[in-house]
Amino acid sequence: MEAILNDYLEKIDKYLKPLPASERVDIVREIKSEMTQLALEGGLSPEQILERLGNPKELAGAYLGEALVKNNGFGLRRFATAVAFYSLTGLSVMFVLPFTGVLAVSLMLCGIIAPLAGIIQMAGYLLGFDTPFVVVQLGSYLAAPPIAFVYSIAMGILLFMLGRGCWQLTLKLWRSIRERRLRSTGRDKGVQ
Amino acid sequence: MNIEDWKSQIKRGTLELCILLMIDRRAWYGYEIISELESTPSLSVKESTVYPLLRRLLKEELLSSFWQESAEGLPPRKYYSITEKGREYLAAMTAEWDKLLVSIDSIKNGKEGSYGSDIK
Repeated sequence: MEAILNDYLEKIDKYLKPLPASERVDIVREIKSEMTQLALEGGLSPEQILERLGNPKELAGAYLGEALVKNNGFGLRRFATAVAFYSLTGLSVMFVLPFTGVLAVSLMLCGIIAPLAGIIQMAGYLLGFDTPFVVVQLGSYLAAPPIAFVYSIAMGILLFMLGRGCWQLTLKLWRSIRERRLRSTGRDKGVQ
Repeated sequence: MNIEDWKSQIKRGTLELCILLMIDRRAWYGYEIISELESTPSLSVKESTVYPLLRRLLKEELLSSFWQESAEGLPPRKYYSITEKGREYLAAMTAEWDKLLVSIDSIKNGKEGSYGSDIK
């Protein structure tokens, strides 16, 4: 068999790593059989065969995708299959999306709570209340109320900006996924 | 909307039915299935669609498979045949398909309400 065809099969085998070895061997064997038939019966050159089969990432991704549809359980193997599938199909951002989304909301929330706490402590200090539930502490350093107020405001602004940044990142990721989806639905139009 | 997009959606939805219908008649191997589908005007498909689909049907135990040596010089082929479960599933699919065609037909011919009683 031609070197470029073997190369292709090796790539498929590599991308299918999350599947059980016996299944992987069977898949590669079947694709190899298809290649030989395309050459002998279809009269295609190795280059034409590769063009027909398409990007090895896409082909392996299709196998992993079907394996995900079939398997409903949750286990390490399924998780590995999902990770491999999303990375092959360029959808790995799907994993980051919930993370940045939740992070954005919590950071912004903290950004609001921190200065509020600072204001409570400052008010307590000015009016002579004791507010032991609000403390600004960095390691062993305990900030005195007026300075703690400044810190809390600064901290609040910082946290809120971080949250906003995360939120914008989330929106950007979301848009890129949408665009990719739109592009991929227009793709699978079959072979002429 | 692009007609090609719509066509590829239909194809995706009906490919499973077509392949099961073919394998219901006799055992087929992958290359043969693809060649047969390619010979029709609107069902041509890529290897990267058919093989992963066959693998899923195997896992769902709608199909079974066996390797068989072929003529000299040719590689062994993996044949697919339908299982009992596959036949039952195919019968259900065919029934749904027929119903769908009747529904589309009645809508096309403007027979209002003739299928209203079917909605649950």
